Amino acid sequence: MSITKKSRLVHPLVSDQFGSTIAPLYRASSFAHDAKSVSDIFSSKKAGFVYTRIGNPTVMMLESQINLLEDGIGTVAFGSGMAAISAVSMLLCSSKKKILASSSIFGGTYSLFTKILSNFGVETLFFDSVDELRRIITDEAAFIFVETIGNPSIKVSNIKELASIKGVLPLVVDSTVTPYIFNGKSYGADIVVYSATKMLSGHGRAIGGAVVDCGSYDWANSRYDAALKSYLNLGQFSFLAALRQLYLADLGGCLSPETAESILTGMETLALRVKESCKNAEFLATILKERGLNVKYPKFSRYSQQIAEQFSGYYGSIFTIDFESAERAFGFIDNLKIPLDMPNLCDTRTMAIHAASTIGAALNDNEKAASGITDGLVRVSVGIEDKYDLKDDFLNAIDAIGGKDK
Amino acid sequence: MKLVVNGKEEIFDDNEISVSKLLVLKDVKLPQMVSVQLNGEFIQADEHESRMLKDGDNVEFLYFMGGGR
Repeated sequence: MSITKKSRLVHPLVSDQFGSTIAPLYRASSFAHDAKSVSDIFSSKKAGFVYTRIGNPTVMMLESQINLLEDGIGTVAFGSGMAAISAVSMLLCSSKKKILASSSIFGGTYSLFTKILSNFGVETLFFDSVDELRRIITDEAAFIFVETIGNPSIKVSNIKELASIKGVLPLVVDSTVTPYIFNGKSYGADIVVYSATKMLSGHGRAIGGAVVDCGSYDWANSRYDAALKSYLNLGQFSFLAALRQLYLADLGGCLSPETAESILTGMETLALRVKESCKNAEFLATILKERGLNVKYPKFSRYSQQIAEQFSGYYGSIFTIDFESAERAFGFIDNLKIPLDMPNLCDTRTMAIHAASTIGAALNDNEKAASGITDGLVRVSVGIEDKYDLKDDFLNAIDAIGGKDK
Repeated sequence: MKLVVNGKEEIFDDNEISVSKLLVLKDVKLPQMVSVQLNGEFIQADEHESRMLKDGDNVEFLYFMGGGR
């Protein structure tokens, strides 16, 4: 009998000699075997662990659970979402030096592409729509990068449409926001990147990331020879092998087993948390919009029907409110009693943050405008608190700054 | 049946061996993470069950989660 993802998240496949029902925590930095076995593990001829920077049994259990969500061919965990994106980008840019990225990506990723990879000769071209991508797409690019929901632009990428025009380029999708209700593979993503810090972990006590290979891209096409040539003997696992054995191992952005165990604990309630957060966000955003506030939420997009289809009937747990000035935005945040002012997303707790002075602070004025960051923009990530408590709190904070448009 | 598995010649009592069965006979712990080459040709995971081996075949198992360079 096959079980659903929701059930499997609570009953992971645990292999343990003592019958443990949860992932045993292997804290060892190294693993000892006979000399031949160590040699075989190093040359990929035998499964096993030798050094936790490269692989660890507890971390592998997390990788298996994340892989389950996407039905990928394999997953590699990282110490953060940014470590995961950095490793993927560096691998794919080893031969081709051009990234095609959505203009509404997270500030940290924007900075990676334009302020770090640019120093290694990588150019990033940004697009704002599928039509714009059609105009700039070239076989000379390394990959296409999009986020499921732009942060904080709240623009939703139409993954199916992007996949239909990607041609020879792999489509890399950052699915930070809705890992349970969006299956990247079935919409045509080739690689899915997660910040496990967000909805996967969900409890605000772990930093982690992961990369899933959906198995749809043929890595043997020589476009990525500089990175993959030594790994092509692993067939469909070439990308994952190079990612783990070169870019995870030698850049060193590994996940600790303790953190992997913490994320696994959070994932047990993933299905419940995602749905509750999304329902709360829809409730709150709708009330605030009805009160005349300038609220951006995927449900209010003209593509809402298509968005609901892509996200299993939900619209995500994040929205923004534009208060038109930093002063009013600060006043609103400081008058909230329940939400915390902190730069995280998709936690059990509701959070509100002033975008321009925090998550978008490294961007210049033009870049802020391109990312949809205005002086008065507040990003709200909705948690699983009682929705009526949140409603009362938000409306009180709005009243405290003199209503919707003073 | 005689097979060469990861460069080593081995004799098996059974003459009806699929790729999947060989993975079991060789006690491969994580078959979903194994890349299989049969006489230099990659065998996709969904063919493991149906692909039968012949006497003298050369089979290579490689694990993507291997320990490193």
